[in-house]
This record gives sequence, C-alpha cells and structure tokens, in this order.
Amino acid sequence: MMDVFARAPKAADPASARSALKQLDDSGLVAAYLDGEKRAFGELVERYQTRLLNFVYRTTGDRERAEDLVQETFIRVYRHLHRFDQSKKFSTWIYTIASNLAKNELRNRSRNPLVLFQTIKKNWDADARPLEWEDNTYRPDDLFRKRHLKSMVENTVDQLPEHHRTVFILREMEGKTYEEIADITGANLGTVKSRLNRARNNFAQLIAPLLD
Amino acid sequence: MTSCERFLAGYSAFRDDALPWEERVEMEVHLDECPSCARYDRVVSRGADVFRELPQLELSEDFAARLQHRIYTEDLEAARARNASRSATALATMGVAAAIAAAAWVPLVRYYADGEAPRQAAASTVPFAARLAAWDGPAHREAGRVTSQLVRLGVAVTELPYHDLVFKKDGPLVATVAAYTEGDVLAR
Repeated sequence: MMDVFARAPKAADPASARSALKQLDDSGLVAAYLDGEKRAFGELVERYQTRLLNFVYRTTGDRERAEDLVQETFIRVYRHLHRFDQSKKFSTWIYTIASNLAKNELRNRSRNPLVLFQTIKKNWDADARPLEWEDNTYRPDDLFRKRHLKSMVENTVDQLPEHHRTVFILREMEGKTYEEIADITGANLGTVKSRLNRARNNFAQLIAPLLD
Repeated sequence: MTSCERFLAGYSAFRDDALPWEERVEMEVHLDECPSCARYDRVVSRGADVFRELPQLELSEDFAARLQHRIYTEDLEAARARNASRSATALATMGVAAAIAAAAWVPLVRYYADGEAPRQAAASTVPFAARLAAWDGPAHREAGRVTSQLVRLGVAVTELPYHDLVFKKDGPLVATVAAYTEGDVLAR
C-alpha cells in the first residue's frame, strides 16, 4: 500500500524531511513526488484540501458532495500526475479538475431534481433561511446583523448563475488572475472579463438592499 | 454611452487594477462625482469583504483515511491491470506457438508413420480433416487423433504445403515430432 501520508522520507530525520517538503513550492513538490518522494503528494493534499473544499462548496452549495468531489480531485491528480505539464502552474491544474467536477455535479443535479431537493433540505438550517422567515418582532443586535448579513451574502452568491458564480468565487475568494480563471474555466480572457463584470453587477443588485 | 454606463462597463477592470493609467484616473474622477456609482462601488467592495470573511469549512475527520483508502484501491487496481496485461501477452504468445507447432506436426506425423499413405498435393481443395477421415492407414489415424486433440484445444490446424519435400523421413525433426506425438499430446 502506498502510504502517501506516513511513509518515511528519504532523509534520515523525518521531521527535517517534512519541514524540507513544506519549504518547496508546488512545482518542487510535484518534481519530488515524481522523483520517488511519495510524501510530497501528502504535502500537496495538505496544501489544497481545505481551499478546494471551500471552493467546491461555494460552487455547488453541498458540503458532503463537496468533500466527495475534493477526494475525486485528488484521486485524479494522483492518477495523472506523471502526465502533468510541469511548465504549467499546479494550482491552476488542480483547480481546473475541481471546477470541472463541480460543473458536472451541477449539470447532473439539474437533470435530477430529487438531488437538488435533498441538497436544499440538507442545508436548510437557521442561517440559510430566507429573510421573510425571520421573526419580525425581534430587533437584531450587531452580532445577529453580522451573522444575518453573512448568510445573505452567501445566499446571494448561490443565486448567481453557475458560470458567473465560478468566476466570482475564483476572483474574489481565491484571488486568481484573469488568465488563471480563463485556464480553469476553459473560457477565453474576454469572456472571463465580461462574466466577472456581470457577476459583480448581479451581486451588487442583490446585495445592495442589505448593505444600505 | 453615459459616464455611468462607461463606469459600470469598466468597473471590473477598475476594481482589479487592470486599467491603463488614464482610464483609471477617469474612473476615479467619476467615482468622486457620482454618488450612485460610488454607492455601487461600496456595495460590491463591502459585499465581497463579507463573502471573504465567511467561515471556512473544515474537512471531516475521516477525510485523510478515506483518501488513503482510495489511493490504496487505485494502486491495487493498477497492479491488477498490469498483471492482466502480462498474462494476456503470455497467453497470446503460447497460442501462436501452439498454432505454429500444429501446422508442423500433422503433416510430419503422416509422412513419418505411413508408408503407404499417398503423398499430399501442395494445395488441395478437399478439407484436410475430411481427407484424413477417408484414409485407413495407422499413420493417418494417429494424425487424425492429433488433429482432433489440437482442434479441441482451440488450435487452428492447417496443412503445410510441400511438407513431404521439406521434411526428410529420417531427419531429426521428424523423429522429435513423432516422439512428442506419442507422448504428451496424444496422452491428453
């Protein structure tokens, strides 16, 4: 069994080897893995698992499925890492895989309304309830208003069309450049710019009443 | 296009600092002068800030264990696929070897053991098995048994043309084949 998380590194001192791996950038880790340092894959997982989980969750809106899709992303990376073009950015590649999986998930969900219903039901907690369901007699304090605002912002992003939402998240949350977003989504640069502008416009329209 | 429309059309590039210097200054001036566009900028900025401050999800505790298990399965399947590929190559090689051997054995057995058997024509239109069945001599019966065994094993048996000219009766190859047909194959 290939234990990518716990196998002893080549260096004599495991702690220093682990620390040495942490110093490497992504391409260094990929090169180390392909050179036989299996722990490098574990370091890549460490580095991307939470970021990808949040990215996929914000795109799909389903926490459990997001985790499954992140697992699938790492499996695909593991399967095809030897074919990865090392002149390209690893982060762009892994986000592309995750983004495609999220896109497929949304496509499948739209073909199967039952899944959508289950997802809505699962995420139907207090924070996700729409404004009109709140108790109008209660005068919210600052803490409540902040929580409420966060919840509404989250819902607003969820309401954006999928191709707008993805570029919005990649830009505003992940801080990706236009070029990286174009690579990840497979759209050309002009399309990315126009989608992002429209996404921000939609976002502003939806969120404005809450922020004034 | 009004100033506001121009502002909104170029807003993303402005926000991402992707505008040429002169256009950027133009946008800044408009922002100072237009309360509506200033509000738009505030809403987007504040909303995006709130969005970035949303609590980050944490992975479930068994995430690493599940991933580890999937990688193990992945390795196992890859190893199985490699083994299956090797076995298929070995089987194919054995099959080709058996077919070549069959092509050589049958006519040799006939030639070696059957003195009275007629010499084979190079290219006969009569099927080989039918001609074997029509003969009476011990050699053709043996050859028939060999052929049946080979066919049962899935080997395609074809007659070599000019076998009686190529292989000599007392040659070492003929003796070897005769000994083998009396042993392994016929014993099956």
